[in-house]
Parts: sequence; structure tokens; C-alpha cells
Amino acid sequence: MNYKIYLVFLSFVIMAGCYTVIKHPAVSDSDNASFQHPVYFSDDCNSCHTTDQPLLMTPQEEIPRLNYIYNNDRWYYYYESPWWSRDIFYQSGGYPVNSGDNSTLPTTSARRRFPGAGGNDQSVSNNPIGVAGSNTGSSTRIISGDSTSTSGNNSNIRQADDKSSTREGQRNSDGDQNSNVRKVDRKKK
Amino acid sequence: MIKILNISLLLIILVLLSLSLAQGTYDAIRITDNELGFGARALGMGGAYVGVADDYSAIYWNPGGLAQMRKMEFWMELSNLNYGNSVEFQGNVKDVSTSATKFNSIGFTFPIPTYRGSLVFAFGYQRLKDFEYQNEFSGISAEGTDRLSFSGVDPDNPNDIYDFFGRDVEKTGYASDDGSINQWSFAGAVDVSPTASVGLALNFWTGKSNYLQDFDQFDIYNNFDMYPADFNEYIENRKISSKYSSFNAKFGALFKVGNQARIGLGIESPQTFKVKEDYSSDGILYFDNGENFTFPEEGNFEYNVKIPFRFSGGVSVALGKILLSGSTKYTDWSQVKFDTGDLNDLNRNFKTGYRGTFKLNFGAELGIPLYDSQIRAGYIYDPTPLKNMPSDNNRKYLTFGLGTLIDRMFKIDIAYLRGTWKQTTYDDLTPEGTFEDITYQKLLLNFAYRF
Repeated sequence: MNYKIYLVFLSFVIMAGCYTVIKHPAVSDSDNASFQHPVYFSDDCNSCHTTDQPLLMTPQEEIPRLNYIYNNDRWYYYYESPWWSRDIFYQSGGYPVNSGDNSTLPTTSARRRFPGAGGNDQSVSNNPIGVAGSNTGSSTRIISGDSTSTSGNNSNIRQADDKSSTREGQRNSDGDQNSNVRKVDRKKK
Repeated sequence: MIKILNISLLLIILVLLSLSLAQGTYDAIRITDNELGFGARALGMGGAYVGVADDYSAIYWNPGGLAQMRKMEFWMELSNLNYGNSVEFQGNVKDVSTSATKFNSIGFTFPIPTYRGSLVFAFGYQRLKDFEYQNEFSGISAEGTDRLSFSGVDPDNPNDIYDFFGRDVEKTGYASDDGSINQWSFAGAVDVSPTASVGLALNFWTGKSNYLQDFDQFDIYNNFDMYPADFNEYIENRKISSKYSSFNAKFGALFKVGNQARIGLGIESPQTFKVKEDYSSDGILYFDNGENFTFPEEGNFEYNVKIPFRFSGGVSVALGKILLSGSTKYTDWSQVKFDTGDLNDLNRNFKTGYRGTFKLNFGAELGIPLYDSQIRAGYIYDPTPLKNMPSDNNRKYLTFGLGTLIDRMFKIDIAYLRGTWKQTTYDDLTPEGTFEDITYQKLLLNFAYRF
């Protein structure tokens, strides 16, 4: 019986590879493919995934549900909010906020690991379906592995002058922009 | 003389017991017949949950539905069963009932964090079927079987057989059963596309049943007054304790159709139940002159029962605040088999006496978000596996339910089921049969904590 359980577990892992993604492909910079950054659940998804490049997750509204589940914070929280990402997508009540000021969102480890998305970055979304709000950015990022790439001429990517939120801006800096840049350099060594 | 009588009676009785306490086809059918499942929300919706299956109970209804869960869930359920039986025997009607409060289910669901799709595991324990039964009767009858025939009664002709039936006697009886069929399950589900999820549950089945029967036949009119057949009374007490174990797997799939409908499918693998029975019987026969003879018997028996594939399917449609659902489950009872030596001879009786059935479930749920509540109603139509039975032998349940969010993490669901049907029960002591009106009521209380 034991081997059957292992077989079943294995089959799930294999099936999971068909569609379900449990590990995000590493992100690398376009100008230095060997420089790869791991991506965590707590990272800011919308720093890469914009309106044209939506999150991998199936939009929740496309899953058949009763309408009040989307219109009521308690029901939404109970049924829909993933336990592993609520700190990004939900405010303290776990209720999705679809518009408005994002400044009250908690700082996540994403910003510590990806300083370009932190600070005064306005791209952090509290929308559970991952539709970016005023997301801007200029860096060209390549998602390594089987995934998508975004190009620099995409209208939704960030503008070059938004240096505080660009990877390139950080990498070219001499360290006086913020301490997170130095942290990245140390990793390279 | 008494010695000869005793030995002779004992021999006959041993032969009779080996026949009378032997297994019948219903011993195999009853293991999974009238299996209601579990889950207060599911049963509040009439068990029409194959196309819904978005909580821990999906492990039973449709393991593919587990993939819908985004939170860890700790789940617990209690049940209270009230089994009422209005028993008619030879024109006399007696109302009896029995109740049982049971721990119905405990489970845990764990979604693995995903960037796309879903991967969810769950494990737990659930009670799927109750064996509760109660029967009491009393009446005058002249019928009997060779269970009530005795040799050695005439010392001069010890091989002669005398029947303690054929003339009116008073029969009283009592029978009860309790126990359940349960599952320990481990399951996993995964999204294989944006609209499709599949799941597999591995189930280890256990179960127990304690059947008791008391029977008393009294020569109330003194119709048996001629020596040597001057019978006065025959009393028999039986106990059969059965233990069940089995293993099977259930595959489930859930398909999202647009943003309103879900379609669920389930296939349950064939399984072999191992049944271990301990039985005992104490019979005592009294003659008019006070002589009495006892017939103790006990032993154990093991046999296997093979249950075939079972298929289920269901649809649910979300319309605003209303969720409508329907499902069905197909079981071909004629494919049930014994898989043990002499019992294999009974297998032809499954072909001739039983049929395939479609169990039908319908349910609806109305959300009342203002009160953080959902109210539900449902209907279950569960046809009897027996062929050529009157339609009132088919089991029909009305179900109602209420669910409420205590806060955003804690939900309580309750369900009430009321089932009614008729059945006739025969055995070797009461071949006349008892005609029974069953009222089955069950209350479920379910706690779910999502975090």
C-alpha cells in the first residue's frame, strides 16, 4: 500500500507540472542573463506582471462562485484568499481592495529582496486578480525557464526615468540611491 | 432418554444454525447500501455536491473539488441519528425508535502555495453509513421454518421431526443493529488547466456492526399439547458482531464552465471488503412438563465481498445568490459478489435479485450575505437495490441546512435530513415478515476553521 501512496504523490507532482506552478521561474535581467533572482510568494507580482502580462493565477472572477462571495469581505476571505499571499493582496481584514491608495499596504519581504519594487513604488497591487493599477517601469526583464518575456517597448512597462523602481537604475547606481543596491552587488560576488 | 434427546436435538440444531446464521446476499449489499456520505453543507443540499465540492467533504464527494480550496481547513462534524420504525406484524403495529450521537468526521486540508493553478492535499476520517436499526413485534402466527423443527422429541423414534409451527402461537421479537462504515482518507487534487481539476482519494475503509436479536415463541393457546410435541415455548437470542475493512481509491474531476457552472465527475474503484463475524446463539426449548433443552452455538466466520465500480456525476450553477446543483451516482448491485468458498454459490442471486440504481440528488443554496448565512434545501432519491420492489421501498430524503460565518475564518453548518421508506424483513424465525415504515432523521453539526 505504501508504494501506491508514493505513486499517487508522484503522479500529482507530475500532473502539477502540466499547469499548476508551485515554483516561480527565476527572474534574470536582460543584460545579464546569468544574474538570476529567486521569486517568492511575498514578492510584488505586479513589478513584472502588468495588465498585459497578468499574474499566472487564474482570475478569481472566472471561477464559478456566488456573487456575494466577491462582494462581501468575510465570504471572500473565507473562500478565495490564498493563505500564502494574503499579506500582499489583502489588508488587515483580508478584504480585496479594488482601487484607491495603496500606501497603507504592508511592506513585504518582496521589497527587501527586490528593492526596485519597494520604497515609494506605486505598483504594489492589492487586487487579488493581479491587475496592475498605475504600474510603471522601464526595466526589461526576462523570466527564465518556460515562461514569458516582457519587452522594453511595452506600453505598460516602467518608464526609464523612474529610476527608483528600475532594476537597471539600481545596478548602475554607485550605492548612494539606497542600501538595497549594495546588497545586490554583494550577492553577485 | 433425555440424553438421547439432547444429543439428537443438538445435532439438528447445529445443522440448522449453520444454515440459519449463514450469510445472505443482503449481508453483502448492506455494507454500502443507503450510504449517505457526510458534510452538513453537502447533505443540506441533498448530497448534490459532486459539482460543488469546495470544502473538506470533497474528499468523499469529488476529490477533484479539493483544488478549489485556497486556505488550510480544519474540519469537524458531529451527527445525531434518530431511526424510527413502525412495525406491523400479523396486524399488530408497534412504533419503536433508536438514536445515536456520533463523531462524524474530522479532517484537515492543506493547499500548497502555487503561482498558477492549485495543488491541495487533505486527510481525515469520516463516517459514511450508519447501521442503526430497530424492530419490535408481537403477534399470532402459525408460520415457521425448519429452524422451528426438532428431532429427538420422541424417544422411541428419535429421528422423527416435529414442527413447532403450523398452529397459532404467539411470537414476539426484538432486533437491533448499530455501528457504521467509515473511511480514513488521504487525497490530493491539482489544477491541470485553467478550467479543470483532478483529484484522487485513497480510502481505507473500516466498519463495525452489532446485531442483536431476541425471539420468543409461546404456545399461548396450548395448541401443542399432545406428547411428544407438547411444546410450550422457544426462546432464542442471537448476536452477530461484524467487522469490515477494505481499501479503494476514488478519482474525481471538476470542470469550470464559464463563470457560473461546474461539472463534476467521480469514479470509485472496485473494492473487496473483508468481513469478520463473531456470532453466538442461545436457544432454549420448553415443553409443557417443564423439561427444557438449550442449544448454545458460537463461532466466527470470515468472508470477502466484492463491490464493483461506482460512478458519479454532478452539475452546479451559481446564479447570483442562488446555487443550484444536481448529481447522480450509479451502482450496479447485480455485480456485487461473495469471494469466499461456498458463498460463491450465492452469487447468482445477486444477478437475479438485484439491479443497477441511479441515486439522484438535488439541492439549492441561497446566500443571505447580510447575515453571513446560507440556507439550503435538497432532495435525495435512493432506489432500493432489490429488483421488482414497490416504489415505496425506494428511499426518499428531504434535507435542510443552514450555514453561517461566525467570523471570516470560522464557519458553522447544520443540516437536517428526513428520510422515509418501507421495507419488509424476513428471517428463519419470522418467515411471515415484518412490514416496516422507516423514518430516518439525522442532524449534522459541522465546524470548519479556515486559516
